[in-house]
This record gives sequence, structure tokens and C-alpha cells, in this order.
Amino acid sequence: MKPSTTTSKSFPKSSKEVSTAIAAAPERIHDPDCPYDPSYAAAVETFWKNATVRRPAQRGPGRRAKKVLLSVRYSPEVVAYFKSTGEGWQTRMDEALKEWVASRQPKPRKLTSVATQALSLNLSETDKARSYWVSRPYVADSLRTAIQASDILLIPEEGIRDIQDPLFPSGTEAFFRYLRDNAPRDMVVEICVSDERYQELSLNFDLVMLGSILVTSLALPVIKDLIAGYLKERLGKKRGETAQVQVSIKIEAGERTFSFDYKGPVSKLEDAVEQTGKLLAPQNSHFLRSLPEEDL
Amino acid sequence: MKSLHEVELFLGSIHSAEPTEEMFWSCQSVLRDWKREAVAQGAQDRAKHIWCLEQTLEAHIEFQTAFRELKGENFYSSWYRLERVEIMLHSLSRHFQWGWCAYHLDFLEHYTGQWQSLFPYRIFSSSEFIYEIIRCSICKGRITPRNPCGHRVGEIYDGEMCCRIIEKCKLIGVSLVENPANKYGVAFLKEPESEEACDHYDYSVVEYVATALESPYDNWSYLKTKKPFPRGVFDYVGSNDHCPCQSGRLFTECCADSEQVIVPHIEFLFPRPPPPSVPRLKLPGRSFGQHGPERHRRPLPPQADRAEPSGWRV
Repeated sequence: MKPSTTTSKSFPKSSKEVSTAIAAAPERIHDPDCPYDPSYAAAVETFWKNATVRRPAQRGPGRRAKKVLLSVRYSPEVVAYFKSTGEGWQTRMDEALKEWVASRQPKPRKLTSVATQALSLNLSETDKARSYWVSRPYVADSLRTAIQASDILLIPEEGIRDIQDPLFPSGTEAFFRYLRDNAPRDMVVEICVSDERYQELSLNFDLVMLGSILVTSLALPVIKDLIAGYLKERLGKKRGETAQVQVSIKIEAGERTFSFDYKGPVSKLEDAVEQTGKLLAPQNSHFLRSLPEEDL
Repeated sequence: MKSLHEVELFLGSIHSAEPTEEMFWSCQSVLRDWKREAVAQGAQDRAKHIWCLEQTLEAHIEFQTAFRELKGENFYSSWYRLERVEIMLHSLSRHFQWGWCAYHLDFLEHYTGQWQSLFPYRIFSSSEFIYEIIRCSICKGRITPRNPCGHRVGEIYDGEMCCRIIEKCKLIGVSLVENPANKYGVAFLKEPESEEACDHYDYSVVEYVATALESPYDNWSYLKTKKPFPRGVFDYVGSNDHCPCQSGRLFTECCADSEQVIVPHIEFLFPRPPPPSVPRLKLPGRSFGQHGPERHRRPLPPQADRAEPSGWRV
């Protein structure tokens, strides 16, 4: 029940009237119509705490969504318990049910934190999965089985400046060879192009471009070490740690493929890949539904 | 010079020797002969060592030439040579750790960067290519991902460094960037009437250091600070010129009415007194903006009192 905002008696106007009214008031009042015991300051305060002060002619709050009227049957002990809590028991019952409903929803706070993390890591879903790359026209039929089975696959850029040919950043052949020489023996490293169609794109920025790499979730921890090792070999120890790199790692997690795009110092790549790995772990799979899809 | 040892001694004292061009040529020919012999004998390590000496010698020649060109006010050409030094040092660094200090490559590395940082270039053109046919410089074989020739870029084979030869390529675009891979692609303006490229940059800082130094191997350093000057110093600046404080606003709208003008200031420290013709203090000697690309020289303001500090600060 909501406290009413009007009183029956006129309010004292001066401080003298106020003090007279206080002096005239009895020590204790018994009022059976009053929802609280007016003799206790604490009870008065609790009751009026939620009241809103409204001036004459001031508009009240808009109507809330209506409650639904229906007739239901509850177990007697449930009804007995709620009734025993006194005035407002139906509201409390409604609150208890609301609590139960909320506890059954997927937790929205955790969901947003995964989405924000994904956003800050530049992680998004892509619909260009392995099947897309295996079937590209610039891949010879004899290579398709190996590409299908690969753990680490270098994939080209398509459609840069309206050029339809597949393009790899300059130096990809050396990167590819480094991966083949240094990846664990049981991992298959492939490149998604036939040798005679292999072309390089040289943009001449002071930025090491490693292009796009499709990896299985198992190969994800391996690839970051391979990248760090390759840069150290290519640029020397000092520059290999400070150089700016650009790489897009496409990660297969279950049935879906995610794209992790990174541009920044090599030193921070390792951390970012690790976080991505954690985010894509199977126990997070139901959160990943909220990930933004790559613009295509 | 006849033996390798003599060449090594020469390189070790190159910073104090004031070498002549003849000495460089004779060094080069000695190295060339010795390398040919090493390759003929199949002595890969010795050939590689000679390659390192060759590169070291060439880096020093380029650095000295760059210095001479700075003195002769050929600034862009000097910039281009400094980049060559940088590239040579980079190729050398993975093979020549022990020679780094012995042959003053640490000096070259430090001062090449320091000179470059004083140049006014900020915007570069960067070309975008598609490389269609790529070959190995050692075996001339065509490079494809699955058929590597076995030679690695940057390694030394028979006394030569392996690199890639682009036999066929397509230029697809040129972009303007601030972080080019090739620093030589400096963007210059075009003269509006003749359509010819012109050098519109203000080189006064590099030029100043070049005139103050005698030898390319002199030590020097600088400190970028800010320094207040009385307003009167800038009487030569027109009220519609850009403000000397480099805020980008017009002088009249910025510091023209204040008592002091605080301008970006570079303080140089030289090991020995520069020649008397070098002014103690130099202020922006050119007006920006309105007057187009030609350089304007204005009389320098009165020089500050000459006091002899311990280091020679200017």
C-alpha cells in the first residue's frame, strides 16, 4: 500500500503553531486505521521513506505497466507464510516470484563483459570458413586435401583495390617456410594458393604485414610463438621486439570461425592472442552468440 | 694497402684518420680481390667476413659523403645517403656483432639517427606494387612458397647478401604516409607555374649543425626545449605571418602583443668551439605560409653575449 500524500488537518503555518501542536500532542496515539504505529519515530520514518512529495496540481508519475488479474491456487503453507508477514504480502509474493524469474535468465552482466572484451580485442565472427578457402578457384585440385587438413593455413587477401587475384603481403613465402620449418611436427602448415598463382602485395609501410592465418583452436597457442620467432629472425633481436605488426588470425572454434585482427607492437600480440584463446574456450561458447558479425 | 689486416687497421682508426678517397678505393679493391680468392677456395666464413668489412667501409663512405653534401647544402641527397647507411647497418647487424664498436658502427648508427631526426621531412610517398615474378639474387631461381631455393634473405652466400629480385611487377598505387618503409620517398611541392618540383623545406636546423662541425666524426648532441625571447626580437616577423611560437595561428592573433614569445628551441652541444662565422643564436629565418615555397632569409637578430661555457652551448 502506498502512503497517501494528503493529511486531513491543515498544516501548522508558523513555528509558534508548530511548537503548540507538538506540546498539545499526546505521548502515545492508538489509531487502528493507520498502517503504522504513529508512536514510534522509526515506524513513521520507514513508512514515509518511499513517499514522494508532490505540490498541489503537480502531475503524478505515469502509470506503470498493469498487473494481470487472475485467479490461481497456491499451497496453503505458502499463502499462510506470506500472510504471516503482514500488510503488503501480495507485493512481497510478487517480488519473490520476480527474483526466481531473474535467477533463471542468462546473466546479462557477464554477457556484456565478454562482448566488450571481444570488441577491444577486435574479435568478430566471419562466415569465410575453411570450406570457403578450400574451394577457391586459385587452389589446384591436388592441393585441396592438404588444405582441408591443415592446422595453420595462410590465406590471401581478395579484392584489394578491385584486384580479384589473391594477394599475399610481401615476404609471405619466407614466413611460410619459417612456419613449415618450426611448427610442431604433427601440425600441417599450408598456403591457400597454387604456386603459379602466388603473388605478393608490397605496400611499403613501416609495418610488418603477416596477412591472414586460419588456425585450428589447437594451433592458436603455437602460432603466437611462431610469429614472435619469425620476427626475431627477420628483423633481428632489437627491432624484432619493437616492430609494429599487422596480422589477422582466423580461429576455428567448434563449427564457427572467428577473426582476430591485430595491429600494434609484437610484444603485446602474445597477450592479446592468449586472451582471445580464453574467450573462445568451449565453456564460453554460449556467450559468443552475442559477438558482432564481421561486416561483409 | 695490401693485406686484409691493413684494411682492418684502417677501418679501426677511420674516425681520426681523415681518409682520402684514394685510400677508400684501394681498400675496396683489396677487399674485392681477397673475397674472390676466398670464394674460389670455398671459404664461406672468410668470404662472409670480407663482405662485412666491405659493407662497413661502404657505410663509412656514405656517411662521410652525406656529411659533405650537408655542408654543400644538398640536403635531400644527404638524406638519401643517410638512409643507405641505415639500411647497410641493418643488414650488417645480424652478422657483425663483434665489429660493431671496433669499426665505429655504433657511432654511425647513433649519428645517422640523430641527423635524420633534424630533417624537416614528415610526409612521404609510398608506392604499392604487386610482385608477380620473384627471384632469388643468389641462384636466380623463381621463388614460390612450396619450392624454396634454400637461400635465405639476409644471409651471406659466397660473400654476397641474399635478397629478392622482382622481375615482373605492377604498380597499383602511390599513397602519402608518415611511416614509410622507404625514407627516400620525400614529398616535394610543385612550382605552380613551371610544374617543376621544388624544395620547399626549411633546413635551417640541419644546416646550422653542419656548418658548426668540422668532421663527420665530431660528437654533438642536442636538446629540444622551449625558450622565452623578448617581443622585440621578433620585430622582423610580419603581423600576418605565422607566430614564431609555432602555434599555427597568425602572429597578430597570438603572441604579437605579449612581452615575451616562447618558441621551440634546440640547444646544441658541440665538443669544440664552432667557427666564428656560426651565429650563437638562430631564430626561424623564414616566413611560413603565404609567400609560397621560395625561402626567405631575414637578417638575424642581434647576437647574445658571448660567454665561454664549459661545453660549447649554442
